[in-house]
Amino acid sequence: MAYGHPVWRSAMRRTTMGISSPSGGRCRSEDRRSQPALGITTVSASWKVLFHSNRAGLETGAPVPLLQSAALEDGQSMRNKGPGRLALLAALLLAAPAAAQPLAEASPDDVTHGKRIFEIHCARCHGLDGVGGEGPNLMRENLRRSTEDDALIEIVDNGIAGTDMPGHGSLNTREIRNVAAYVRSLGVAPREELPGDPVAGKDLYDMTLCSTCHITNGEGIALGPDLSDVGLLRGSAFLRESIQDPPKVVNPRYRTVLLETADSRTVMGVRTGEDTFTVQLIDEAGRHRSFRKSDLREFQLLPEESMMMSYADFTDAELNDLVAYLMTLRGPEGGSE
Amino acid sequence: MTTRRLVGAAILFALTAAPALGQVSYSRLVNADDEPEVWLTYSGNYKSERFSRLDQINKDNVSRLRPAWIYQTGTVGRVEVTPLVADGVMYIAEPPSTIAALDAHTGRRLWRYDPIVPDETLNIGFPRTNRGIAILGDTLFFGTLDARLIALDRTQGDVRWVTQIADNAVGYAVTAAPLAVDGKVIVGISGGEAGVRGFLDAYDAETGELAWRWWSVPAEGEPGNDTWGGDSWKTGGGATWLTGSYDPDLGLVYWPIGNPAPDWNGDSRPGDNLYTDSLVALDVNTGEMQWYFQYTPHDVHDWDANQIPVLVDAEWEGATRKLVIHANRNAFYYVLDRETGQFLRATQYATQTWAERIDENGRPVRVPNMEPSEEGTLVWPSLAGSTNWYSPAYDPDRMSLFVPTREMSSIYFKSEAEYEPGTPFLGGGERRPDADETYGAVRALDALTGELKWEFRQLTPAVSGVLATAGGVVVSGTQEGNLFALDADTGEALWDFYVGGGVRAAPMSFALEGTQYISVAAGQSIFTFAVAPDADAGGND
Repeated sequence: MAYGHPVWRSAMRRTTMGISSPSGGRCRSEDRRSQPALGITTVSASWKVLFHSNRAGLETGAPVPLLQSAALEDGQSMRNKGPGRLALLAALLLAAPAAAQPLAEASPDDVTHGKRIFEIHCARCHGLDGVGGEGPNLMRENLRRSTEDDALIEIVDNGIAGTDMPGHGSLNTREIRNVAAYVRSLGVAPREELPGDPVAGKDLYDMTLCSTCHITNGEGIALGPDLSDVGLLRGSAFLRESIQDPPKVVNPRYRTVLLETADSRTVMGVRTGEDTFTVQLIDEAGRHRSFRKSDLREFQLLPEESMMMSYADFTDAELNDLVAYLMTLRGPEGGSE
Repeated sequence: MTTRRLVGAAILFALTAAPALGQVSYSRLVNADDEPEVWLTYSGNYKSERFSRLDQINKDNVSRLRPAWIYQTGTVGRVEVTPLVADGVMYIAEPPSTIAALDAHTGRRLWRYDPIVPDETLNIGFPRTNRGIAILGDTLFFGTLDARLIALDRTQGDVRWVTQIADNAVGYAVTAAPLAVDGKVIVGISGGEAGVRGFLDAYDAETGELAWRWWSVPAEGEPGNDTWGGDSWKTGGGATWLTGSYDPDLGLVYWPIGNPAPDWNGDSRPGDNLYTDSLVALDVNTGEMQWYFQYTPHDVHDWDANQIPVLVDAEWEGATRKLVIHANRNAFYYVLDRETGQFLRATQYATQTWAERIDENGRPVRVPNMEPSEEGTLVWPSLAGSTNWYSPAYDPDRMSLFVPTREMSSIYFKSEAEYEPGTPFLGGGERRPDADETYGAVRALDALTGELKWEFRQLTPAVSGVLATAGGVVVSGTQEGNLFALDADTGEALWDFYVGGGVRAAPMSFALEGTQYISVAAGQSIFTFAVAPDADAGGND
């Protein structure tokens, strides 16, 4: 492979620039959910969603979409597909005999083909065999965003707006379908037996003051990612690595800004927005601040590794406990897997 | 004078003068530089300089640039138009293909014409938008997403004629501004990503009848067809989706040509794939090609040549020469002789990893193994290129070309490509690598050498066109929503304003009653700025 890092990082970094705020992504998810079923196909609905997201003005701050652009005149506009294209694709999919066939009934050849594509495009985040890592474990009873085949195909095709899940950017209809068929074939992995004690892990979480940067179930400060459903979204190995060696894995959307104002005050905080002329941040007191770069004596984005502290000095037992606790965090309803 | 004669004169005036605006004659278009208070063509003049000869807005007062008015289209797509201004009226296009006339003093709408583009209209590879209008006489000309060319009376917005120029069902569309010349309207098409076969058309401005068609991909038996394998020419792309330039003295139209299809999988089209990724010079009367120059033979990275070619007359090695300059998507800046197409110079102006150099004939010497692959191939620049359709601006006083620049790489993927009419015909795609430290810039290039004079760095890769002015300020924007003005000599930022929407169009300038304005489309609106009075100067500014 000619690259060694996940695609979503750069995508997310850009999403943070400009107007997007930590809540920006969430808005998009809601847009997505609020779309009425179109009664044609989900692919068609997804185009609609993309169009809708565009419309929301998010392009302003999010030059690079989570979806990777497909082919374009100008190389960046495929998201802006309109209803015409929708209808046509819908018609094509409906017309194709394969479209009516459930993914679970795909031929072994198609599933094998899908596995090969999965390993190239998906395994970096979802792990080989879909066991999860940086992205969710896919070997579950129900994939909460894609209980229906069409929804799964849509996600493979276009990603999930407002999350780190990108669209594929380069697969044709058959390849998308075969990847989806492979994901459907993954089955259910047995619940991972974790060595730690989640109760002790919770104590450690509180003692270490993790909540000064993370929210769990509504408590804490949102400087870093909300961990309320991190047990669903990440694999245990990824969490272990995040705690021990954050620079390797921590999402670069969370960047520390260090600046010095004209009157020699130093301000440090987490960047929430940036454009060519200004920067917005949440400072150490949790206040929203905005600065013009030209007014500053100094402005720097600290290297990515400085964002999350490393906790490499945890003992193995402590680390096990903490990871075990984090893996119990499965969202408000306890995880509708 | 008797009462009867007075009444007669009044009626005559009412019948002739009152409803009609002035004529925008062909000679006004040719001599656009003499009339800097109007903006009559997409790029400001036939040379495509996008240079305003107004100098009221200058380095000293540009910091007081303030909104004069804002027009909200109320539409949902991207507004990417360059407005035209003539006789106090601004003409704009709104997504997808609607034309509106605004009072240029206030932004209040005078009329709007919606050609009603059906919902099922295809737009494969480009947004549902319209980037500009042409004007000739008292008529406006524009294309629609469903590939019609329409002529409107510019006073009322009434339809004069409609010509269906191609079939949208296979992917053809019009997003680019037509170019009006003497008695003709030249219009290009979009649709390369659907595997259409590209062409450039000229229509009679009075009747809408086809005057000539030039195919950008030669048919069997025609010169250049042997640069395609098998039947690949039939679906070869080569769209003509950006407005070209015109030299009235030479009678030549200069038009940039898009990439070959399928984009990232070139297996089915062995050869150079003429005339994709080229600049062509066509006889304005017949459409016959006089010369071509291909920037990127056998392109597999989607590096259309659809960037604005700028016509420059300059001293070249001791003699005055007619040149055409062009900052290409492939990261090189080119100088050609526009009479002959002779290659004179290429200079790299942005990061690239695909070519070792450009040889003495202008042909790239390629770095091996830079083609898209199933596993992905990291290449600079990204598929959107080192620049794109966003107009550059040429300052003839400084002999600087200001280029909206993108510093960005892609991982290019290759996959199967099967042609089905009216669907994407791509054969791959791109992803952005994590380590990719992307940014944008306005770069000022020496027009003769292509060497960098200065750059103004932007947070993200450029998507905005550039305007240069005789006041020594250069105006552009960012996709983050900034509009800004730079010192044309140094690149220093002199002014900026947050418009709250990505600037995905190019600014232009005009003047009314002695006041210079700068207008730009951003987000879903048109913003128009003028210099506010200087409070400190006691209103004497």
